[in-house]
Amino acid sequence: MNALTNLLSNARWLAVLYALLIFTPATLLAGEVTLEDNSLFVAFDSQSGALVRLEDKTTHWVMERRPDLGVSFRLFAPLPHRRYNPVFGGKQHAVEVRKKSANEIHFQWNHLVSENGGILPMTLSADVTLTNGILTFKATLENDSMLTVETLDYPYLGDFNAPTRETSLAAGVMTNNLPGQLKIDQIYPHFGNEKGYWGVNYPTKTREGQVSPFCLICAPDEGLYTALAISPVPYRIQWTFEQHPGVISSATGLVPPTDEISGIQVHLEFRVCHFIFAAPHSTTALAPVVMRIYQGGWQAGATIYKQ
Amino acid sequence: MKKYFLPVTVILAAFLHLTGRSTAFAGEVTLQDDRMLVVFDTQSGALVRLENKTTHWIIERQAEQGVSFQMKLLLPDRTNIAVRGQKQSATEVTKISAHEIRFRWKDLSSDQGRILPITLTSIVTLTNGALTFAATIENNSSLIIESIDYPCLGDLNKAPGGAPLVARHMWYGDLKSADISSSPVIESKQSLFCLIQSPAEGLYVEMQDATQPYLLRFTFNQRHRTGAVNNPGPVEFHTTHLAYIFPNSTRKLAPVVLKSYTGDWHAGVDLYKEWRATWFKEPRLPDWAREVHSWTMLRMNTTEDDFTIPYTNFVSYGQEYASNGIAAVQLVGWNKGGQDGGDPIQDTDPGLGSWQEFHDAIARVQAMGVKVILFGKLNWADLTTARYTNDLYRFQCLDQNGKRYEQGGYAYVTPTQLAGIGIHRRAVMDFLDPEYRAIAVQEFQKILALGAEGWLWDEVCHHATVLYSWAPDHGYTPPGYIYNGDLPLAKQLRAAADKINPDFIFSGEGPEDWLMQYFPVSETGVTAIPLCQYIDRHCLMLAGVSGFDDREQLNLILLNRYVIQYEPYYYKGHLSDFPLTLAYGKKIDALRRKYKAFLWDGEFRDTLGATVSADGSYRYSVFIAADSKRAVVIINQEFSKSITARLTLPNANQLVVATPEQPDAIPAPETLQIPARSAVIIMEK
Repeated sequence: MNALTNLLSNARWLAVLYALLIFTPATLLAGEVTLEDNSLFVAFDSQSGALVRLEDKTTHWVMERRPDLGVSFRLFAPLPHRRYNPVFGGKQHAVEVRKKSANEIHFQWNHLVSENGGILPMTLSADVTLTNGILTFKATLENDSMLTVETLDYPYLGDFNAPTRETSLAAGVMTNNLPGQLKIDQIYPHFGNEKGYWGVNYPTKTREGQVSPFCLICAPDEGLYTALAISPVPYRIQWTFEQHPGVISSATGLVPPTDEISGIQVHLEFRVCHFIFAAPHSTTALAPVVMRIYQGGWQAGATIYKQ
Repeated sequence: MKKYFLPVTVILAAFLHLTGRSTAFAGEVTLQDDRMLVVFDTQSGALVRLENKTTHWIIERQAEQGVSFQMKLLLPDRTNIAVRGQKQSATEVTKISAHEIRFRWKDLSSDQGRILPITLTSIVTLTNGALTFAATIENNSSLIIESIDYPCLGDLNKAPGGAPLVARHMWYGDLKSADISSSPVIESKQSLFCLIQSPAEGLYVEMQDATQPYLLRFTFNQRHRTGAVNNPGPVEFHTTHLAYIFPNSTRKLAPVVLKSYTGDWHAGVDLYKEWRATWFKEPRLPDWAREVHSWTMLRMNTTEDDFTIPYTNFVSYGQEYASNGIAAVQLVGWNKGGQDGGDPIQDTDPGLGSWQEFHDAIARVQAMGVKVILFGKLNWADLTTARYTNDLYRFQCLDQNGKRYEQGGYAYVTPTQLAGIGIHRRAVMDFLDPEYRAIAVQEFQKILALGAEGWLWDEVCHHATVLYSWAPDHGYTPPGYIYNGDLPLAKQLRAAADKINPDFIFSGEGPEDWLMQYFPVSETGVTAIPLCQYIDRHCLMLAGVSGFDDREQLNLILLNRYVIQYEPYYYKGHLSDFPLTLAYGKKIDALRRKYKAFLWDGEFRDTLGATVSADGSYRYSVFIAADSKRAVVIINQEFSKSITARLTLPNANQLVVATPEQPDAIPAPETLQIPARSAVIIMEK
């Protein structure tokens, strides 16, 4: 009887925990810092500063889903005699992840550990705000090193998901400087590599920020609008999509409809690449990037830009 | 009237026989046999009628559109003047035998009325349906004859039925296609033949010289009537010889052969195969390459200095390859500067290790039974290297203005390069220059010295935008046709290899067909039409597989007899990264070993000789073994749906069926259930 009581008691607790997990849109885990309003929920890892969850609260579309695939940033700082010298956010420890207010978080990473050039005297600071469903990423790089920072990827979504496995996704960008004319290409369930396969490890697509100051990730009935918050942008921007680890078949371009294939995680990365070419001993403010959800077809996303 | 019918018919028939055509006119001269009829104007020498007699396709119809030839000459200021056949009178049009006419045009008049001491002589023969135009030009003028268009069809007509014509040509292991109304230009640097194809028949046009003496263009021009863009006029078809005939010289042009055929592209390509058999020298293939086998590919470094795989680490990859039965690994980016860096220098890179470490790693991997194929390029000189600045610039191709040609390079790894910034551009090296060819051989000897069993010359198939080089002091009078240096260099490289190891295998990226005399292994990937396999049963075509469960690509490889080249993570990973793909690839190769007589050694017939129907997306191919037994491979291209297929194989013996998953053959049912993403082979027992 005691065993049965314990079982029922445990079951009750498990049910409560399950309900919390299911019905709380903001599945808050230890070590996370969050922002949310009526439309968006976003969580960051308080250790790494990685963006680990992004959710449309109105439709429960979890865009960034798996925390272990979250990424904070990435930059490239070539060495004098070796160009390949990335700094991966995943290998950095954020020195500050502080909620400055109900709608703002401040991040700071410094003494960046590079892959081939040791620790670099650089500080990346970022402020992320969520106001009326608009998520804004502002960042500044203080480069006190002797190296030029050529590119910086920020913000960086490491696991962008469609609303469901069965829902398609497409990337849409403006053409001919007309918000009503979009170039729309599927990125799920089919993802076609657009870079020379010799030069990349994963199927990759990039779109130019100078051609289109915004990029839509379009599901059939909703989407994520990402845009530059200033104009003109003083440097080149690319909207970058990268499908890991690849596709089922090069003949079809079909993405594995599973979390893993052969033990390797399947995930779509979406990042904003800033070609800043930050000189040694310089400070560079990145072009702010905004994200917001829209409901409806791609026209609804383009309308945000028009407004 | 009835009583006059017979005599009139007899008289008419006799007239037709004597004049040699059905509607002969005064002032025309005719050749015909049972397949072709061709008529020329005796005044101008223009070709005014061409007919496939077996199908009654009047290929050239309107006599007034007939053209004899055209020329372009270069003035000292590099502008052109034209000589048009329409303004010339032939000084001789002589039927020198029943199947041969001689034409001569002298003292040609340019558009500007300038009389040029140039003589064009041509012998046109019609033998067994082959219409051959063999021309010689005596240029006694002070000008360079840049090009001559000969023969010319001024009014290329559609075949009966009126379907649009398409131009087809061989390139990169494929048979490319272009609608003739788009005025395509096909170049002999890619294909020695062009098919002018209607759905049911075609005209085969051949440049009958496989040595690339100069560039010949198969030129289509869709004319439009004045003021009527949507009212197309005649289509012109010329073979344009960019022969650059110097003042006071005589030049024989490459003969141009026209043959009509019935059927689709297979019939046209069969004509090429017939001619090819008269000149193509089969290259040596080492024994291991004759067996069913697969390759893999791995990159060590790029121009962005990622130094991903040090030389000493290569051995562990070799162990993985050996344990999975891989026969050969194409090793990329091992040279100083990484993939697409440092060309054409084939030194090792200190960033990856020492020469000795690399040499020893190669030896260890090969001792495990895995042949190491070193990637290399000799076409270019990396502009960022000191060697280019100090030395190699002297051997680069130059344009008419003395400016360097460039190839744009390729982007690697970093966002910067992938965005097109900082890519290593390259000068285009002149293969016509004997001094550069000697340098290329020296660099190639560095590959040989490393002890590898082969190499893969990436981009062997082109010279970027260069056709002709005007560089002075390169051992010839410019301009020189750079593709004319390809075969001599290949011959020199082969000779260098033979001194070390006659079994050293040459592979290349999509070598043109004539280069396959030296490069029996061609890396093209899966092409729309498996043309090389159809032309030559001995060629080895490499197709990469990069998907993580890539049954679709592997089925295509089985279907069209490619060699599997495993490329996990676009050739930057381990075989163990895609176990599903590897496992199915092994099954494909096991099936090919079991039925090697068909699937590897058999004659590949594409779809000829069988028909298949099914209730879903499928493809099939036919193989004929040496004992004439046939096999048909059918693949189901549906991702999630099983299909029911029915095979028709005329006069078939008892049929058996096997699959990669069930390799033991069993009697074939009348209809075949083929699961999604799967393949079957049906064989005559």
